[in-house]
Amino acid sequence: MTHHYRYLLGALLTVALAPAHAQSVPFTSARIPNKELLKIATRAIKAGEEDYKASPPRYAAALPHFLEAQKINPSNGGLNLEIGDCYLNMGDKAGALPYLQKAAELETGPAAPRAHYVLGRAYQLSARWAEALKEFERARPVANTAVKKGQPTADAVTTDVNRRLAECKAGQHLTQHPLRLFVDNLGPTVNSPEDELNPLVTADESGLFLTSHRAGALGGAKNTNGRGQLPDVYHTTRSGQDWGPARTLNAPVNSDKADVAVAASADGQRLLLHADGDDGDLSETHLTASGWSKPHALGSHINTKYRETSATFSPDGRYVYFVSDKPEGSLGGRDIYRAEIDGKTPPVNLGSAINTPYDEEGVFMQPDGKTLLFSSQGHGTMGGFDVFKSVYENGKWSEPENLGWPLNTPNDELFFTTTASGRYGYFASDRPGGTGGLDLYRVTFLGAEKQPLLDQDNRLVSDQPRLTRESRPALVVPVVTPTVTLLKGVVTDISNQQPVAAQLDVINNASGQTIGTFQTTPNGRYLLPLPSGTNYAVVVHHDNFLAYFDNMNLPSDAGYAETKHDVRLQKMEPGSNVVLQNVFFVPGQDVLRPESTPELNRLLQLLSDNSRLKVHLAGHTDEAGSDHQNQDLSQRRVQAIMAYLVAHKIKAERLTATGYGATVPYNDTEAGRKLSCRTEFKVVSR
Amino acid sequence: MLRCFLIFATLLAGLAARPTWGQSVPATPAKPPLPTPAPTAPAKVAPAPSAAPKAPAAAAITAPDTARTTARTDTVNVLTPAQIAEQAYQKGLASVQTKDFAAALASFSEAIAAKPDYAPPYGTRAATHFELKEYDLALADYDQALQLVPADYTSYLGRAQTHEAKGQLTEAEKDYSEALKGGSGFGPAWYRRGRLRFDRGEYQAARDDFEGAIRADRKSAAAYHERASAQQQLGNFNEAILDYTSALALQPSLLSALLNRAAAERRAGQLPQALKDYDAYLKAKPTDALAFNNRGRARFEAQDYAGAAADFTQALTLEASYAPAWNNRAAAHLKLETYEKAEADATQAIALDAKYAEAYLNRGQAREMLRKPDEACQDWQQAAQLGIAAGTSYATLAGCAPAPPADPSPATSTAQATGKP
Repeated sequence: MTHHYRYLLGALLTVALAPAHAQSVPFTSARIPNKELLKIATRAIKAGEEDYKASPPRYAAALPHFLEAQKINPSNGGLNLEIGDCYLNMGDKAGALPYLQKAAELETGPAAPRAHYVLGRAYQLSARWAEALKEFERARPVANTAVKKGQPTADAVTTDVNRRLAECKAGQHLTQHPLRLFVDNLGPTVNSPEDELNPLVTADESGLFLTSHRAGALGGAKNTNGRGQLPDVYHTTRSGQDWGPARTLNAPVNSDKADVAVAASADGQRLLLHADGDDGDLSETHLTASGWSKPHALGSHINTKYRETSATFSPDGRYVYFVSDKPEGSLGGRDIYRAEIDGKTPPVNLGSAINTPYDEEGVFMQPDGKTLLFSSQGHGTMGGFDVFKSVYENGKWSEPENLGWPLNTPNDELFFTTTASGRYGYFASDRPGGTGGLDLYRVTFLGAEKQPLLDQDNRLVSDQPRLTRESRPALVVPVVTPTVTLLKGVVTDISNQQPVAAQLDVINNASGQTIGTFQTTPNGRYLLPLPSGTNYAVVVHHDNFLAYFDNMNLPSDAGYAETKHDVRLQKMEPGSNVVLQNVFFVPGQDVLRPESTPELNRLLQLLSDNSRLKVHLAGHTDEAGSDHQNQDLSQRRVQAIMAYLVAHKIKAERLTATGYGATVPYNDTEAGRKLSCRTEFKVVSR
Repeated sequence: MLRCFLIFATLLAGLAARPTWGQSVPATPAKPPLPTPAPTAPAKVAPAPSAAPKAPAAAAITAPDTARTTARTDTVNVLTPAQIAEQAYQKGLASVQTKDFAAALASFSEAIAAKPDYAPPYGTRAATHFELKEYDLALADYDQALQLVPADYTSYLGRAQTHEAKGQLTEAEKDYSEALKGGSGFGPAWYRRGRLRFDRGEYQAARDDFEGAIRADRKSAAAYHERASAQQQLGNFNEAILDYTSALALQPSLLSALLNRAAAERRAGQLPQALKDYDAYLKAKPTDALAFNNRGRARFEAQDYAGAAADFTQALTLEASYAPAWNNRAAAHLKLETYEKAEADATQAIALDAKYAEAYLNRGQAREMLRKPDEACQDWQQAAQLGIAAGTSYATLAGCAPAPPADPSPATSTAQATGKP
């Protein structure tokens, strides 16, 4: 994977080493009479430029040569500009500034705009906005200047300068309104001197996948751009407040090629990998009892001959949002698309609300299923890639919002992912202070400033020292959290408490549609992000067990919550019984509500799949109403269920049904009594 | 005491009843009027005094008919019970003048013995009992006086003040209301009832009473002051500022008006004026910790956080046990982003007042910024338990684990945790 996001000034920097400006001292015998020194300087410059103009440029290699020449002639504008540019591209803004300032001072002719431009960049990257704005204003091309071959046109330069000016104005505004957050480097257990990319955090922040160019990769080969080795995928788990050491994933996730994990499902059970070859395709792997499955490439409707560099799952796992540089349908540069993973219809470009003429990268869909986070060089970036947020509501994407300073900086911020709570985020950045290259950072959002509360007493009566505490208005703090519930737990065998690797189906009770199918980990753990606004049935099933049915009715305004729910499955054997949580009746009647159909159909499927299975249906009510009424109602209800099954070709002799009224409460607790109104089925024989 | 003595003396002398309840800073409650003698010596022989003086009662009590008692002294040598009563009564008044209360009581009792249906000695004896803090005896005499003269509004006023002294505030308020039926001469009753209502937090009713007091005496600085305070409590800050200003105009030495006006100005958003008033007040009373605390708060609201912190420090130098100043300095340190100091100050406030909800909330913020998320959560949840709903909001936003069941004695546990009393 190459780093397109690194700014390239090479096109702008064709440094004239022998300008005839009044102040810049050219490398000529007239100005450097000592022939030997001139020879040394000329040789050094030539050597430096070989590295400087290489593709990609080798700034670190070029720099010593340029500095050698600069010792001989410190007053050549072009040379100072090249030195400053080397420092700048090596991330040393402080080192760059004196040379660039000198270059801008020395260059007064046609090369002056370029000198001011690079100096402006140095100021911009230092967040010195006012000075940057001043320099970029001076960087406008001189009118009627002839354009040399290979150089950008005046219009192109003007467009670029205007873009920089807009970035600086955005930066000025954003830094004047900083966000309250903590940004923490993940430290040496996770970061290395080389690039770390794609922090993929699970919804509950228990695990983190990352990609690193660090030494020790399976391939062991040098990265083609000269930065570290070919990348591998790593994983780490959280221990308290800290992340443990990042450990490499074995084959087949990692190979002797470049391996990049670009997306993880909320539960960390599925990964999308990006093979960093020429056609940079996406493939999927998932965790099985024996480890990660062999990655299989996504369909040709997603993978093209162009590069698909970043992706994210939708919360239901059926869709993928991904970044591609394919020109067809693009709004310019790399764009974000959406496609059904197992479908065939062409991906949809998310449109101009999201995509810009510049590059978009690092796309991530929050577990609420509507908040998209992505990096862009367009929109209101303050320079490089900034992270933006857009929410899909009422059929359209909101205007992307810059996540602000100090999360975003003039450097690159990429691959932003968040936990389901939205309180924590992870991203990669090449900001100063890291361990080298791109590092991974954790951001903690603190929300709006919390106002301190002050107190005072007053002596309100003229002749008394008695104090009266001054009243104050109630402090109203709006609480806005992502509208998602994180349902997690462990599935075990009720008979021996051993974990069961089960499947979980999440169904929309209203529509009857299966929203998603998920797999527990081999040790039975599951984690489901359930966006609010739906009445869900969650069915946990395994071939050797009776299915477990759960109901999660989440109103649309339900804020973030984490719900732990362990599931104990019963073997399909006589005596086992299951509560049908998603069978609903009209209150006080034996009329089945339409939302019951999916659950009844699952029961039908169970009976169809197990043709010798005989079950007993048991109806129960709560204590409201008389004993007689309760018994009658519960009897009529189970008969209604039985009638449904028989109508769907289940033989009546396989079924028995009894209404028990309120005689068998769910359990003797207060909560249990509330759950007493229910329908159960019990295995009679199989 | 002196003030009430003067009240009664004034009334007794039949002078215009100029209540002096707004002229100084007496102890609470104000005392009922003490008797004062008639301007001339009593006659040896006098006609029977009227058993039922007309309202206002003050005039009836204070104006024995000396002209009539002296008219027949050379022709009648045998004193009637009424004359005996009148003589004893006058003697009692003279004793009051010399503050010989025991003698006064003896004389008033003699008068009552001579003529039990003669009302004035009951009232004056009641006032004397009050002076001696013999409240039950005072109440008994006032009751008797009012039984004899139901429209004796001065006795209602005296009895109201006696009830107030005994802490029988309902009865006191009722008697003040009765006294107010006596007309414009009973301004003190407006004021006293206003005070009772103010203390009960009935600020609107109190404001109306202070308005009555001002109508009765437009030169009463105290009435303006108290009405201003009622207005402030009602949130009518501009009206409060005007009234405090009037109080100061009438009595420039009434510094509490300056202090309270500053508070009202701050709450009205008039921070420069508030700061000016605080400066003036502190120039006059540079050792008032409360004033430093309050000026610090005004500076805080003016976003002068360093200045605010300096004032809170000064308040604490003067009164180290003043918990609000610790809490407020913690708030200033939050703004100054000196979070360790904020945490320490809030902790000190909590040590002084273990149920100080605001201090918990502020300390939670400091601890959040100090990267102590668990402790911040505990503080916010404690603040919520102590009644500040924002504590729950902060805990939710910070993703705090649910709070443990409410500790029935958080004060105790906190004190133990900090090792402070």
